[in-house]
Amino acid sequence: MHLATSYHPQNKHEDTILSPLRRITFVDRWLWAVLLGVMGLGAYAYSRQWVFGLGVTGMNRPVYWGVYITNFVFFIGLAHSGTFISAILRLAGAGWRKPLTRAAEAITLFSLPFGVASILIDMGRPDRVLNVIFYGRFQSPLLWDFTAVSLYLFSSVVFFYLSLLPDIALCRDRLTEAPLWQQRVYGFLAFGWQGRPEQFHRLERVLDGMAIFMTMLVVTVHTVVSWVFGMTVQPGWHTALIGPFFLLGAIFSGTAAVVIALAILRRVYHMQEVLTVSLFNSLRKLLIVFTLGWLYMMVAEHLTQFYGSLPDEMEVFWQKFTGAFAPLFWLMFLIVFVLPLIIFVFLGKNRIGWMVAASVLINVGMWLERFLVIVPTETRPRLVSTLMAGMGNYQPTWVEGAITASLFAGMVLLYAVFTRLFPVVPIWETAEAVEAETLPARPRRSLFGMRRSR
Amino acid sequence: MLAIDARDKEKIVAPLFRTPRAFVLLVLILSALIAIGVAAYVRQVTLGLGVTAMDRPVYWSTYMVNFVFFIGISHAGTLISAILRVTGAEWRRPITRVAEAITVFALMVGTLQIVIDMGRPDRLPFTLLYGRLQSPILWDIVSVTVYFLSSITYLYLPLMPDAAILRDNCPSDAPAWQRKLYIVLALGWRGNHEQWVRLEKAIAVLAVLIIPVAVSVHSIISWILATTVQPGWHSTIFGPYFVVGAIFSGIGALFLAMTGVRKALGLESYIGLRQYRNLGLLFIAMNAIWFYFTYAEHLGIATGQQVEEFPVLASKLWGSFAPTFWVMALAMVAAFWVLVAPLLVPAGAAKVALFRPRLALASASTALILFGILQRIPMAPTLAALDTPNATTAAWVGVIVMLMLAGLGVAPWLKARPVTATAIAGGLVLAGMWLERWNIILPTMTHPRLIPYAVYTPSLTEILITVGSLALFTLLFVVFFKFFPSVSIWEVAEGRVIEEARSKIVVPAPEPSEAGWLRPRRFKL
Repeated sequence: MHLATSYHPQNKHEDTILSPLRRITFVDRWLWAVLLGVMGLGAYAYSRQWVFGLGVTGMNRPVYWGVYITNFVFFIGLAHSGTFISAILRLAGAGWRKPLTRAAEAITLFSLPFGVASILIDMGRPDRVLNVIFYGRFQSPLLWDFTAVSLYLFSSVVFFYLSLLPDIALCRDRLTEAPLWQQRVYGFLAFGWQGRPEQFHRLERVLDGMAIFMTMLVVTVHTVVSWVFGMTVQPGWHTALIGPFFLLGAIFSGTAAVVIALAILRRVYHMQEVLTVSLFNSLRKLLIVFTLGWLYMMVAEHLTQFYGSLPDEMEVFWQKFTGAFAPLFWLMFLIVFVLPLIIFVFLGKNRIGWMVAASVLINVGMWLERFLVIVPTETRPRLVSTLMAGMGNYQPTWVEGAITASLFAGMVLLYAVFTRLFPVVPIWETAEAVEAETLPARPRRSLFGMRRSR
Repeated sequence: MLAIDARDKEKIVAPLFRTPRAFVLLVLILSALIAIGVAAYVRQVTLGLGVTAMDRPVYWSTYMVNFVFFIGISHAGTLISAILRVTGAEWRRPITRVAEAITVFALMVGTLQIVIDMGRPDRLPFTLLYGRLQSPILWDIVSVTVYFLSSITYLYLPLMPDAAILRDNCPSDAPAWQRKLYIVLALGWRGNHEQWVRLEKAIAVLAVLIIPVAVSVHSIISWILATTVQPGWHSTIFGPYFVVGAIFSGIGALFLAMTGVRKALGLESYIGLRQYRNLGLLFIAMNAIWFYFTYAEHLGIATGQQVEEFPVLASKLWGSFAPTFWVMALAMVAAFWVLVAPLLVPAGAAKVALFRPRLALASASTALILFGILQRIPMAPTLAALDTPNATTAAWVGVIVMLMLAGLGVAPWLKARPVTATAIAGGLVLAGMWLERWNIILPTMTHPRLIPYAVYTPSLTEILITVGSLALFTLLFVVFFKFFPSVSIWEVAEGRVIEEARSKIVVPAPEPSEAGWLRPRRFKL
């Protein structure tokens, strides 16, 4: 299979990072069981929805999109964490990102499938999903969305796997006491990685190239998701800003999610040495900028609408500011902007607890924000609300609640299991030296004047 | 007595006390252009705005385009120099002065456009005297004023030590008034420790404060348009779109200005390739973001297909504004390519036959000829045979392919001349951004909701005044740098000290989060 001499860059934290992989604790099993239980509840709810139809949800004419689509947008937004941290910061040359790339990319990887699942759950006839491709039309944002999201899913798997490769090889060589199936998995996934300098060189080049591609993709994906709304003429949705606004919100909530994930990993796996406080401080600065950017876009969006005072638009507008959605709207404003800004600027420095609190608030608030973009528009459509009295209310049912909970449980479960199987901090990227001169003698020989590797 | 490096003295200080013939000539030409512009304006004031091409429903036109354009350029200084200061980018040192000067002068000329656009400029104070808080015009006046005051302070603060340096290093034959000017502007600067600490603190605070001001200025200008319900203007994206465009054109202006200064004063050892490369990367990023916003804006209108919005878009895409729209798009693509191509083309490419400037010229001319034929087809009976969809599509494809070939061909040429390439990109972007403002303001004006559509072609008066304004901007810039150092002497000296210290002491790589970003220079946020 592989040579015993394969090279791994020196990393003084190697044991700390690998230690979670060496054993699965009692607490872990309990956590997994509880999460599976929540998922079971969700499966039960979904089976009811499958049998009785979408009538068991709170959705009805004219509210066709509710919590599920909110989940979809939210999960896709969450997925931007990893790509932002590892691709965009890689292009920007921010060296501090290295310890947290893996943890961030894992969020990407494990939230994307649930975003896609949300769409399927939202469909009354999920068996027809492929019709989007079979009978797709180029001018339909749904087809763009389908293409962009699946491309994003595939390329983030590739990107994730590539940066994981040297660490899988490390696991293959170090975790000799792991169960046989696990060792086999490492052996297979390591792809014969030996850590030769040209391998590292090639890997870095591929990652750099992919980073550019991923950056474009990350912009495209959330913009296209927003255009599913923005390309209609629905009041409140038909706004040019929706693309950049969704994108910013996505990166915002994604970065906040990274803070939460990092803090938990740091605490549970005792990685205080590896995931230093300075990482959190760097993220804090980014989050301050995002908070302000979010406010700016929020003002730009609503100020323009308000001054336009178009009758159809104002129905939706007042619903958010003073009407039925006002409590949610102002709560959202409080927990996305006011509290996080106060916490980050005045309390957050060097205090992980505060930062996590703010990040949780941001993520709850961003979910609400997506909800408030989607639903108020639907409850006040241009024509239907005047035609059908009494319609146009939306109250999520327990089915939607249970399914939403199960999606989040699923994401946490995948993440938790992942951290027990693969190193959650990139060992090779955070290594002290990957330079060629520190490499051991490589198994190469010269043959008839030609250099042949191996 | 503040001593300075001999090199600085020769390169930066000495030219301030010489008056070369080229400078006099340039000033004379610019003054002539300004005089013509002033004459045109006097005529406009006397005879009324009827001498311009503006009429119902086109109330805003070239002057407003100039206004938005100049305010956009003014973002060169503040945003670039303030953001680079806040993030602690060392390479900013030689270019901050030029950037800040652009801000101040562009703001002056930009604000002037508003006055020129008014039929009764004497009523300008009314916006303040009878202003209403809910009016974006009032916000605009307030924010532009704040911006002007803060950027002139921001220009002056780092200039103070330099004025003191000039005061102490005046050659003996310097005119007395110039000496006096430096004495006054130096404000008794002695360069002791306390003064330095205070100055650095002030600059750091101002740099942080000026960023939101700059963002608000261009957002508010965009909101003058966006808070109406005019088709094409009533768009939520306008705020960020204008800000991005402003920064983008600001970098373009900075490219031209710094190249001009570098060439005129021979500052190759100060403004080096590092500045060009880093600003170039920033430029490429802004270019991409600009395209993203443009696309988002127009796609929304295209798919919305609303009866009043769509004619505005149609007039840009294939109607009367198609020439300006597509020239704008082409200029932006070309600017992008001019800076990206050198990064992509491998070193040995110049040897390949495809990458020859000659070939680029040939394919560009072919594209031009094909384009000319395409324009002639509907009019010329001899070309009637070509008037089929297939033939025209093929010709358009040919034009695009030829342009791409031309782009490939010039790539090694651009790679060999990074400074020229950057200046070209800057010029392209300035032209493109002026057209962009034109394409935003005019199509909406000529396609109003109720009144019949109109046509607008700028009159001679407007053209002369525009040229005069550009000349005024250039004149202010040139004259300023005749008397003040174009490179901040003390900042560059400080940079040298830091560089030297770094090269001597081998320290482990610093944690970026501890020192950089929001807290440079002991300033506590």
